[in-house]
Amino acid sequence: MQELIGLIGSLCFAFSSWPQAYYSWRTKSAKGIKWSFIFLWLSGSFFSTIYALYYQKYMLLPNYLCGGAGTLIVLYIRLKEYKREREAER
Amino acid sequence: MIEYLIDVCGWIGALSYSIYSIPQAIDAMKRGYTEGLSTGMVLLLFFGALCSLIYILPNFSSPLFYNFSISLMAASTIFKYHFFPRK
Repeated sequence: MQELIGLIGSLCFAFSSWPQAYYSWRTKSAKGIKWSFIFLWLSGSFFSTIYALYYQKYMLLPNYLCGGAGTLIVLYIRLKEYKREREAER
Repeated sequence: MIEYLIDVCGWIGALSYSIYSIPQAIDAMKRGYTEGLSTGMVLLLFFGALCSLIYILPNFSSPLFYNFSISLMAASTIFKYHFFPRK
């Protein structure tokens, strides 16, 4: 039972950025997302992936890579939006 | 030397993962509501932190216990202001 709860928790974390990526993609906006939220999430994915690769903890990799992939999409949309805002200001 | 650097990477990764939702939680607290967040992400963050904390609870001296406790506090704050915004 304990293992199942741990697996559910891990899966929730792994895919938590995907609904946000889909939502931001559909609305073409990620304005409410803080930059620090995106960069800390990416930093977590990146550094943890290096750690897991080196120590061959391959079970952890899908968790970090899935989370990172969704966050990269959010970052891309946020950057595009930021660029649009800057151009509108000029 | 390389192992030391990899361990530093592990620590930076773990630290980033434990605090990443705090800025979003503080923003939600200041506004009294969340803006532009998907309901799916709010739910997954909350239940992810909750289930992971329940999982790690028997080893409560583990660093992961503190990691998931901080994550759960931030995720609960976001959850609260997403579903029950301040009027």
